[in-house]
Amino acid sequence: MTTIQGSISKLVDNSNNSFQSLGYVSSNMANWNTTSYKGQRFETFMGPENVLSGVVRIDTSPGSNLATFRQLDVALEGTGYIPITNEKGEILYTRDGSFAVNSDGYIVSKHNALVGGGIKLPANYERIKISTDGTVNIQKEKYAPFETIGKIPVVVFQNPEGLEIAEGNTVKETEGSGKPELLLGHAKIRQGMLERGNVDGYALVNETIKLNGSIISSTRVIKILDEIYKESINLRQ
Amino acid sequence: MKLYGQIHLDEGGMYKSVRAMHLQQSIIDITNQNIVGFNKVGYQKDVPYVSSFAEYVGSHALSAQRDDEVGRLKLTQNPLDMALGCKGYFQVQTPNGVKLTRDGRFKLDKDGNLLTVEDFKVLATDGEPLRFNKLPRDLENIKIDKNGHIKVIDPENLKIHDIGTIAAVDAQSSPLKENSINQRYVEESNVILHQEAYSLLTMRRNFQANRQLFIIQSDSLTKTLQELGKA
Repeated sequence: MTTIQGSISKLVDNSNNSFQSLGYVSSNMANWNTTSYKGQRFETFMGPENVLSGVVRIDTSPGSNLATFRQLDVALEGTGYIPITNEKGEILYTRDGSFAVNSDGYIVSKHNALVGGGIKLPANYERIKISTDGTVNIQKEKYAPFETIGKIPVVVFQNPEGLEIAEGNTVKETEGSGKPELLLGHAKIRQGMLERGNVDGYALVNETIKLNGSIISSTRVIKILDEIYKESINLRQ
Repeated sequence: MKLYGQIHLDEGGMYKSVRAMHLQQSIIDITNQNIVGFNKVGYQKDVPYVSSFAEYVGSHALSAQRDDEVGRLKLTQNPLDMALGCKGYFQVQTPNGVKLTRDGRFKLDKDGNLLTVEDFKVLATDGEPLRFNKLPRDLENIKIDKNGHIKVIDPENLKIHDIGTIAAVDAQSSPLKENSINQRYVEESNVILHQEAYSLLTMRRNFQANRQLFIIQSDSLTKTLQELGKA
Protein backbone atom coordinates (compact mmCIF):
# COMPACT_ATOMS: atom_id res chain seq x y z
CA MET A 1 0.00 0.00 0.00
CA THR A 2 1.44 3.29 -1.03
CA THR A 3 0.93 6.38 1.01
CA ILE A 4 0.91 10.04 0.02
CA GLN A 5 4.02 10.48 2.15
CA GLY A 6 5.77 7.72 0.24
CA SER A 7 4.88 9.26 -3.10
CA ILE A 8 6.10 12.66 -2.01
CA SER A 9 9.41 11.32 -0.75
CA LYS A 10 9.98 9.51 -4.08
CA LEU A 11 9.40 12.73 -5.98
CA VAL A 12 11.69 14.69 -3.68
CA ASP A 13 14.30 11.97 -4.29
CA ASN A 14 13.89 12.41 -8.04
CA SER A 15 14.22 16.18 -7.81
CA ASN A 16 17.37 15.85 -5.74
CA ASN A 17 18.89 13.39 -8.20
CA SER A 18 18.00 15.64 -11.13
CA PHE A 19 19.56 18.61 -9.34
CA GLN A 20 22.72 16.58 -8.83
CA SER A 21 22.75 15.67 -12.53
CA LEU A 22 22.29 19.35 -13.36
CA GLY A 23 25.32 20.08 -11.20
CA TYR A 24 27.47 17.76 -13.31
CA VAL A 25 25.98 19.20 -16.50
CA SER A 26 26.96 22.69 -15.39
CA SER A 27 30.45 21.60 -14.39
CA ASN A 28 30.86 20.06 -17.85
CA MET A 29 29.55 23.24 -19.44
CA ALA A 30 31.99 25.33 -17.37
CA ASN A 31 34.87 23.15 -18.56
CA TRP A 32 33.93 23.23 -22.23
CA ASN A 33 37.14 25.09 -22.99
CA THR A 34 39.38 23.39 -20.43
CA THR A 35 42.31 21.64 -22.05
CA SER A 36 41.92 17.84 -22.13
CA TYR A 37 38.85 17.95 -19.83
CA LYS A 38 36.97 14.66 -19.66
CA GLY A 39 33.22 14.96 -19.38
CA GLN A 40 31.53 13.58 -16.29
CA ARG A 41 28.06 12.13 -16.25
CA PHE A 42 25.85 11.43 -13.29
CA GLU A 43 24.15 8.21 -14.36
CA THR A 44 20.97 7.54 -12.45
CA PHE A 45 19.32 4.17 -12.18
CA MET A 46 16.48 2.56 -10.28
CA GLY A 47 18.08 0.73 -7.42
CA PRO A 48 16.45 -2.06 -5.44
CA GLU A 49 12.88 -1.31 -4.25
CA ASN A 50 12.58 1.47 -6.82
CA VAL A 51 14.88 3.80 -4.95
CA LEU A 52 16.78 6.13 -7.20
CA SER A 53 20.52 6.22 -6.99
CA GLY A 54 23.36 7.29 -9.23
CA VAL A 55 27.02 6.92 -10.00
CA VAL A 56 29.49 9.29 -11.63
CA ARG A 57 31.02 8.09 -14.87
CA ILE A 58 33.87 9.66 -16.77
CA ASP A 59 33.72 9.85 -20.54
CA THR A 60 37.29 8.92 -21.46
CA SER A 61 36.95 9.44 -25.20
CA PRO A 62 39.62 11.72 -26.70
CA GLY A 63 38.86 15.33 -27.57
CA SER A 64 39.84 17.04 -30.79
CA ASN A 65 43.29 18.54 -31.17
CA LEU A 66 43.84 22.26 -31.42
CA ALA A 67 47.00 23.54 -33.10
CA THR A 68 48.73 26.16 -30.95
CA PHE A 69 52.25 25.99 -32.50
CA ARG A 70 53.75 26.51 -29.06
CA GLN A 71 56.93 24.44 -28.66
CA LEU A 72 56.05 23.04 -25.25
CA ASP A 73 52.42 22.18 -25.96
CA VAL A 74 51.81 18.50 -26.50
CA ALA A 75 48.62 16.61 -27.18
CA LEU A 76 48.06 12.89 -26.69
CA GLU A 77 46.48 11.02 -29.55
CA GLY A 78 44.17 8.23 -28.39
CA THR A 79 44.31 6.79 -24.89
CA GLY A 80 47.05 7.31 -22.32
CA TYR A 81 48.27 9.71 -19.66
CA ILE A 82 51.47 11.61 -18.96
CA PRO A 83 52.78 10.99 -15.40
CA ILE A 84 53.78 14.11 -13.48
CA THR A 85 55.41 14.50 -10.05
CA ASN A 86 53.95 17.30 -7.97
CA GLU A 87 55.70 19.36 -5.30
CA LYS A 88 54.69 16.88 -2.57
CA GLY A 89 56.33 14.05 -4.50
CA GLU A 90 53.04 12.36 -5.48
CA ILE A 91 52.73 10.89 -8.94
CA LEU A 92 49.66 12.11 -10.78
CA TYR A 93 48.58 11.59 -14.37
CA THR A 94 47.38 14.20 -16.81
CA ARG A 95 46.48 14.66 -20.44
CA ASP A 96 46.86 18.41 -20.23
CA GLY A 97 50.05 18.99 -22.20
CA SER A 98 50.36 22.76 -21.87
CA PHE A 99 53.81 22.55 -20.35
CA ALA A 100 56.20 25.32 -19.31
CA VAL A 101 59.68 25.65 -17.89
CA ASN A 102 60.26 26.46 -14.21
CA SER A 103 63.07 28.53 -12.69
CA ASP A 104 65.34 25.47 -12.44
CA GLY A 105 64.96 24.72 -16.14
CA TYR A 106 62.70 21.67 -15.73
CA ILE A 107 59.67 21.06 -17.92
CA VAL A 108 56.63 21.41 -15.65
CA SER A 109 52.88 21.20 -15.98
CA LYS A 110 50.57 24.17 -15.39
CA HIS A 111 50.51 23.44 -11.66
CA ASN A 112 54.28 23.32 -11.34
CA ALA A 113 54.58 19.51 -11.32
CA LEU A 114 57.59 17.91 -12.98
CA VAL A 115 56.84 16.06 -16.19
CA GLY A 116 57.90 12.45 -15.82
CA GLY A 117 60.92 12.17 -13.54
CA GLY A 118 62.08 15.65 -14.56
CA ILE A 119 63.45 16.78 -17.91
CA LYS A 120 65.99 19.59 -17.62
CA LEU A 121 66.42 22.09 -20.40
CA PRO A 122 69.62 24.09 -20.77
CA ALA A 123 69.25 27.85 -20.38
CA ASN A 124 70.32 28.53 -23.91
CA TYR A 125 68.82 26.71 -26.87
CA GLU A 126 67.49 27.46 -30.28
CA ARG A 127 64.65 25.02 -30.77
CA ILE A 128 62.89 22.13 -29.05
CA LYS A 129 61.61 19.19 -31.01
CA ILE A 130 59.37 16.63 -29.35
CA SER A 131 59.00 13.55 -31.51
CA THR A 132 55.85 11.42 -31.64
CA ASP A 133 57.19 8.92 -29.08
CA GLY A 134 57.84 11.71 -26.56
CA THR A 135 61.60 12.11 -27.00
CA VAL A 136 62.63 15.71 -26.29
CA ASN A 137 65.41 16.95 -28.57
CA ILE A 138 67.01 20.35 -28.49
CA GLN A 139 69.10 22.27 -30.95
CA LYS A 140 71.70 24.42 -29.19
CA GLU A 141 72.26 26.76 -32.10
CA LYS A 142 71.15 27.07 -35.67
CA TYR A 143 72.25 24.24 -37.99
CA ALA A 144 73.63 22.25 -35.04
CA PRO A 145 72.46 18.65 -34.76
CA PHE A 146 69.64 17.81 -32.36
CA GLU A 147 70.54 16.36 -28.98
CA THR A 148 68.25 14.12 -26.96
CA ILE A 149 67.77 15.35 -23.38
CA GLY A 150 64.89 13.24 -22.13
CA LYS A 151 61.62 11.59 -22.87
CA ILE A 152 58.06 12.45 -21.93
CA PRO A 153 56.66 9.15 -20.66
CA VAL A 154 53.19 7.92 -21.58
CA VAL A 155 51.30 5.33 -19.52
CA VAL A 156 48.05 3.53 -20.10
CA PHE A 157 45.63 1.97 -17.62
CA GLN A 158 43.55 -1.17 -18.01
CA ASN A 159 40.46 0.67 -16.86
CA PRO A 160 40.76 4.46 -17.28
CA GLU A 161 37.17 4.89 -16.00
CA GLY A 162 38.34 3.73 -12.58
CA LEU A 163 40.79 6.62 -12.17
CA GLU A 164 40.07 9.16 -9.48
CA ILE A 165 39.83 12.79 -10.51
CA ALA A 166 42.34 14.91 -8.60
CA GLU A 167 42.94 18.63 -8.50
CA GLY A 168 44.24 20.67 -11.39
CA ASN A 169 43.17 18.59 -14.37
CA THR A 170 44.92 15.45 -13.17
CA VAL A 171 43.86 11.93 -12.23
CA LYS A 172 45.08 9.53 -9.56
CA GLU A 173 45.65 5.81 -9.76
CA THR A 174 43.14 3.72 -7.78
CA GLU A 175 42.56 0.05 -7.13
CA GLY A 176 39.86 -0.08 -9.80
CA SER A 177 42.00 1.46 -12.52
CA GLY A 178 44.77 -1.13 -12.44
CA LYS A 179 48.49 -0.40 -12.47
CA PRO A 180 49.94 2.09 -14.95
CA GLU A 181 51.72 0.45 -17.84
CA LEU A 182 54.55 2.39 -19.50
CA LEU A 183 54.28 2.53 -23.27
CA LEU A 184 57.60 2.11 -25.01
CA GLY A 185 57.07 2.13 -28.74
CA HIS A 186 54.23 4.46 -29.61
CA ALA A 187 53.46 7.50 -31.70
CA LYS A 188 50.91 9.25 -29.54
CA ILE A 189 52.51 12.63 -28.90
CA ARG A 190 51.82 15.66 -31.07
CA GLN A 191 53.97 18.72 -30.50
CA GLY A 192 52.44 22.18 -30.90
CA MET A 193 48.93 20.96 -30.23
CA LEU A 194 46.56 20.81 -27.29
CA GLU A 195 43.71 18.43 -26.72
CA ARG A 196 40.39 20.16 -26.26
CA GLY A 197 37.76 18.98 -23.79
CA ASN A 198 35.51 16.19 -25.04
CA VAL A 199 32.32 17.90 -23.87
CA ASP A 200 29.48 18.20 -26.35
CA GLY A 201 27.77 21.48 -25.52
CA TYR A 202 24.70 20.80 -27.64
CA ALA A 203 24.07 17.44 -25.95
CA LEU A 204 24.31 19.24 -22.61
CA VAL A 205 21.57 21.69 -23.63
CA ASN A 206 19.33 18.75 -24.50
CA GLU A 207 20.17 17.16 -21.15
CA THR A 208 19.32 20.37 -19.30
CA ILE A 209 15.91 20.59 -20.98
CA LYS A 210 15.09 17.00 -20.01
CA LEU A 211 16.23 17.42 -16.40
CA ASN A 212 14.28 20.65 -16.15
CA GLY A 213 11.13 18.92 -17.42
CA SER A 214 11.62 16.14 -14.91
CA ILE A 215 12.06 18.52 -11.98
CA ILE A 216 9.07 20.65 -13.00
CA SER A 217 6.75 17.67 -13.33
CA SER A 218 7.97 16.24 -10.02
CA THR A 219 7.25 19.45 -8.16
CA ARG A 220 3.89 19.70 -9.93
CA VAL A 221 2.89 16.22 -8.72
CA ILE A 222 4.03 17.14 -5.21
CA LYS A 223 1.66 20.11 -5.37
CA ILE A 224 -1.26 17.93 -6.48
CA LEU A 225 -0.50 15.36 -3.77
CA ASP A 226 -0.32 18.15 -1.23
CA GLU A 227 -3.79 19.35 -2.27
CA ILE A 228 -5.13 15.81 -1.99
CA TYR A 229 -3.58 15.56 1.43
CA LYS A 230 -5.24 18.79 2.52
CA GLU A 231 -8.60 17.72 1.11
CA SER A 232 -8.40 14.31 2.77
CA ILE A 233 -7.67 15.85 6.15
CA ASN A 234 -10.54 18.32 5.71
CA LEU A 235 -13.00 15.69 4.54
CA ARG A 236 -15.46 16.69 7.26
CA GLN A 237 -16.45 20.05 5.84
CA MET B 1 -27.78 1.72 9.41
CA LYS B 2 -31.21 0.90 10.70
CA LEU B 3 -33.08 3.36 12.86
CA TYR B 4 -36.17 2.25 14.83
CA GLY B 5 -36.40 -0.66 12.48
CA GLN B 6 -38.01 1.66 9.96
CA ILE B 7 -35.59 3.99 8.24
CA HIS B 8 -32.94 2.49 6.02
CA LEU B 9 -29.78 4.41 5.43
CA ASP B 10 -27.34 3.06 2.93
CA GLU B 11 -23.88 4.06 4.01
CA GLY B 12 -22.28 1.95 1.27
CA GLY B 13 -22.16 5.06 -0.88
CA MET B 14 -19.84 6.76 1.55
CA TYR B 15 -17.51 3.77 1.59
CA LYS B 16 -17.51 3.73 -2.18
CA SER B 17 -16.49 7.38 -2.31
CA VAL B 18 -13.67 6.82 0.15
CA ARG B 19 -12.53 3.79 -1.82
CA ALA B 20 -12.59 5.75 -5.06
CA MET B 21 -10.42 8.40 -3.46
CA HIS B 22 -7.94 5.73 -2.39
CA LEU B 23 -7.95 4.34 -5.92
CA GLN B 24 -7.17 7.72 -7.47
CA GLN B 25 -4.33 8.13 -5.03
CA SER B 26 -2.87 4.77 -6.02
CA ILE B 27 -3.16 5.65 -9.71
CA ILE B 28 -1.36 8.92 -9.03
CA ASP B 29 1.37 6.86 -7.42
CA ILE B 30 1.89 4.90 -10.64
CA THR B 31 2.03 8.13 -12.66
CA ASN B 32 4.40 9.49 -10.07
CA GLN B 33 6.69 6.49 -10.59
CA ASN B 34 6.64 7.10 -14.34
CA ILE B 35 7.58 10.75 -13.89
CA VAL B 36 10.46 9.71 -11.64
CA GLY B 37 11.56 7.24 -14.33
CA PHE B 38 11.28 9.73 -17.17
CA ASN B 39 14.97 10.41 -17.60
CA LYS B 40 16.22 7.01 -16.49
CA VAL B 41 17.92 4.88 -19.09
CA GLY B 42 15.94 1.77 -20.02
CA TYR B 43 12.93 2.57 -17.83
CA GLN B 44 9.64 1.14 -19.00
CA LYS B 45 6.48 2.89 -17.95
CA ASP B 46 3.67 1.28 -15.99
CA VAL B 47 0.14 1.74 -17.26
CA PRO B 48 -2.58 1.61 -14.59
CA TYR B 49 -5.57 -0.63 -15.34
CA VAL B 50 -8.71 -0.47 -13.26
CA SER B 51 -10.91 -3.53 -13.41
CA SER B 52 -14.67 -3.09 -13.40
CA PHE B 53 -15.06 -6.09 -11.10
CA ALA B 54 -13.99 -4.11 -8.09
CA GLU B 55 -16.52 -5.87 -5.88
CA TYR B 56 -14.92 -9.23 -6.47
CA VAL B 57 -11.19 -8.64 -6.62
CA GLY B 58 -10.64 -6.47 -3.61
CA SER B 59 -10.83 -2.86 -2.68
CA HIS B 60 -8.75 -1.43 -5.48
CA ALA B 61 -9.02 -3.68 -8.51
CA LEU B 62 -6.03 -1.75 -9.75
CA SER B 63 -3.21 -3.35 -11.61
CA ALA B 64 -0.21 -1.88 -13.36
CA GLN B 65 0.97 -3.33 -16.61
CA ARG B 66 4.44 -2.72 -17.95
CA ASP B 67 4.50 -1.02 -21.33
CA ASP B 68 7.26 -2.79 -23.27
CA GLU B 69 7.37 -0.41 -26.21
CA VAL B 70 10.90 0.58 -27.23
CA GLY B 71 11.91 3.97 -25.83
CA ARG B 72 13.85 6.75 -27.47
CA LEU B 73 17.35 5.80 -28.64
CA LYS B 74 20.01 8.38 -27.87
CA LEU B 75 23.44 8.53 -29.50
CA THR B 76 26.19 8.69 -26.87
CA GLN B 77 29.26 7.66 -28.90
CA ASN B 78 30.46 5.49 -26.01
CA PRO B 79 31.58 2.17 -27.59
CA LEU B 80 30.31 0.21 -24.60
CA ASP B 81 26.80 1.68 -24.62
CA MET B 82 24.24 -0.65 -26.12
CA ALA B 83 20.56 -0.11 -26.78
CA LEU B 84 18.01 -2.75 -27.68
CA GLY B 85 16.09 -1.55 -30.71
CA CYS B 86 13.55 -4.34 -30.23
CA LYS B 87 11.56 -5.75 -27.33
CA GLY B 88 13.76 -7.76 -24.99
CA TYR B 89 16.22 -7.53 -22.15
CA PHE B 90 19.88 -7.96 -21.25
CA GLN B 91 20.68 -10.46 -18.49
CA VAL B 92 22.75 -9.39 -15.51
CA GLN B 93 24.11 -11.35 -12.57
CA THR B 94 23.03 -9.72 -9.31
CA PRO B 95 23.56 -10.99 -5.75
CA ASN B 96 19.88 -12.03 -5.86
CA GLY B 97 20.18 -14.09 -9.04
CA VAL B 98 19.87 -13.28 -12.71
CA LYS B 99 17.86 -10.16 -13.47
CA LEU B 100 16.68 -8.54 -16.68
CA THR B 101 17.40 -4.98 -17.67
CA ARG B 102 17.20 -2.76 -20.72
CA ASP B 103 19.82 -0.42 -19.34
CA GLY B 104 22.78 -0.88 -21.68
CA ARG B 105 25.29 1.50 -20.10
CA PHE B 106 28.16 -0.93 -19.68
CA LYS B 107 31.77 -0.53 -18.61
CA LEU B 108 34.86 -2.67 -18.26
CA ASP B 109 36.75 -3.24 -15.05
CA LYS B 110 40.47 -3.89 -14.92
CA ASP B 111 39.97 -7.66 -15.12
CA GLY B 112 37.96 -7.38 -18.33
CA ASN B 113 34.50 -8.05 -16.91
CA LEU B 114 31.63 -6.25 -18.59
CA LEU B 115 29.66 -4.46 -15.84
CA THR B 116 26.49 -2.41 -15.60
CA VAL B 117 26.45 0.98 -13.88
CA GLU B 118 25.43 -0.83 -10.70
CA ASP B 119 28.56 -3.06 -11.00
CA PHE B 120 26.63 -6.23 -11.89
CA LYS B 121 28.18 -8.65 -14.38
CA VAL B 122 26.54 -8.90 -17.79
CA LEU B 123 25.79 -12.41 -19.05
CA ALA B 124 26.73 -13.85 -22.43
CA THR B 125 24.57 -16.26 -24.45
CA ASP B 126 26.18 -19.27 -22.72
CA GLY B 127 24.84 -18.05 -19.35
CA GLU B 128 28.29 -17.16 -18.02
CA PRO B 129 29.40 -13.57 -17.22
CA LEU B 130 30.88 -11.89 -20.28
CA ARG B 131 34.61 -11.43 -19.93
CA PHE B 132 37.05 -9.76 -22.30
CA ASN B 133 40.01 -12.14 -22.50
CA LYS B 134 41.71 -9.54 -24.66
CA LEU B 135 41.44 -6.04 -23.24
CA PRO B 136 41.49 -3.36 -25.91
CA ARG B 137 43.99 -0.52 -25.58
CA ASP B 138 41.32 1.82 -26.82
CA LEU B 139 37.58 1.30 -26.39
CA GLU B 140 37.16 2.48 -29.98
CA ASN B 141 38.48 -0.91 -31.09
CA ILE B 142 35.42 -2.71 -29.77
CA LYS B 143 32.86 -3.59 -32.41
CA ILE B 144 29.43 -4.96 -31.60
CA ASP B 145 27.10 -6.13 -34.34
CA LYS B 146 23.29 -6.25 -34.45
CA ASN B 147 23.21 -9.68 -32.82
CA GLY B 148 25.36 -8.59 -29.91
CA HIS B 149 28.49 -10.36 -31.09
CA ILE B 150 31.48 -8.55 -29.59
CA LYS B 151 34.84 -8.33 -31.33
CA VAL B 152 38.02 -6.53 -30.41
CA ILE B 153 40.26 -5.39 -33.23
CA ASP B 154 43.94 -5.17 -32.45
CA PRO B 155 45.21 -2.26 -34.59
CA GLU B 156 48.85 -3.34 -34.22
CA ASN B 157 48.59 -6.63 -36.05
CA LEU B 158 45.05 -6.21 -37.41
CA LYS B 159 43.85 -9.34 -35.67
CA ILE B 160 40.25 -9.76 -34.64
CA HIS B 161 39.59 -11.31 -31.24
CA ASP B 162 36.19 -12.88 -30.60
CA ILE B 163 34.95 -12.01 -27.15
CA GLY B 164 31.48 -13.51 -27.09
CA THR B 165 27.86 -12.67 -27.65
CA ILE B 166 25.85 -10.64 -25.20
CA ALA B 167 22.60 -12.31 -24.17
CA ALA B 168 19.36 -10.67 -25.28
CA VAL B 169 16.27 -12.46 -24.02
CA ASP B 170 12.54 -11.89 -23.83
CA ALA B 171 10.56 -11.51 -20.60
CA GLN B 172 10.50 -15.32 -20.18
CA SER B 173 14.33 -15.49 -20.39
CA SER B 174 14.35 -17.34 -23.69
CA PRO B 175 16.73 -16.00 -26.36
CA LEU B 176 15.35 -13.52 -28.87
CA LYS B 177 14.92 -14.74 -32.43
CA GLU B 178 15.68 -11.39 -33.94
CA ASN B 179 18.08 -9.04 -32.26
CA SER B 180 18.67 -5.41 -32.85
CA ILE B 181 21.50 -4.28 -30.60
CA ASN B 182 22.75 -0.81 -31.34
CA GLN B 183 26.27 0.03 -30.26
CA ARG B 184 27.01 3.60 -29.10
CA TYR B 185 23.38 4.23 -28.20
CA VAL B 186 21.44 4.16 -24.97
CA GLU B 187 17.72 3.71 -24.74
CA GLU B 188 15.91 6.35 -22.78
CA SER B 189 12.59 5.67 -21.06
CA ASN B 190 9.38 5.27 -23.03
CA VAL B 191 7.55 7.72 -20.77
CA ILE B 192 5.76 10.57 -22.52
CA LEU B 193 5.94 13.35 -19.98
CA HIS B 194 3.03 15.51 -21.16
CA GLN B 195 0.76 12.45 -21.35
CA GLU B 196 1.50 11.71 -17.71
CA ALA B 197 0.81 15.33 -16.82
CA TYR B 198 -2.57 15.25 -18.61
CA SER B 199 -3.57 11.99 -16.95
CA LEU B 200 -2.86 13.60 -13.59
CA LEU B 201 -5.57 16.18 -14.29
CA THR B 202 -8.36 13.63 -14.67
CA MET B 203 -7.25 11.80 -11.53
CA ARG B 204 -7.20 15.07 -9.66
CA ARG B 205 -10.78 15.90 -10.74
CA ASN B 206 -11.95 12.37 -10.06
CA PHE B 207 -10.60 12.65 -6.55
CA GLN B 208 -12.36 15.97 -6.05
CA ALA B 209 -15.66 14.63 -7.41
CA ASN B 210 -15.56 11.69 -5.02
CA ARG B 211 -14.67 13.95 -2.15
CA GLN B 212 -17.63 16.19 -3.01
CA LEU B 213 -19.93 13.17 -3.13
CA PHE B 214 -18.68 12.03 0.25
CA ILE B 215 -19.34 15.46 1.73
CA ILE B 216 -22.88 15.55 0.26
CA GLN B 217 -23.66 12.14 1.71
CA SER B 218 -22.10 13.05 5.01
CA ASP B 219 -24.15 16.25 5.12
CA SER B 220 -27.40 14.48 4.36
CA LEU B 221 -26.66 11.91 7.04
CA THR B 222 -26.02 14.69 9.53
CA LYS B 223 -29.29 16.39 8.53
CA THR B 224 -31.25 13.18 8.85
CA LEU B 225 -29.90 12.57 12.31
CA GLN B 226 -30.64 16.13 13.37
CA GLU B 227 -34.22 16.00 12.05
CA LEU B 228 -34.79 12.70 13.77
CA GLY B 229 -33.46 14.10 16.99
CA LYS B 230 -36.03 16.93 16.88
CA ALA B 231 -38.99 14.63 16.61
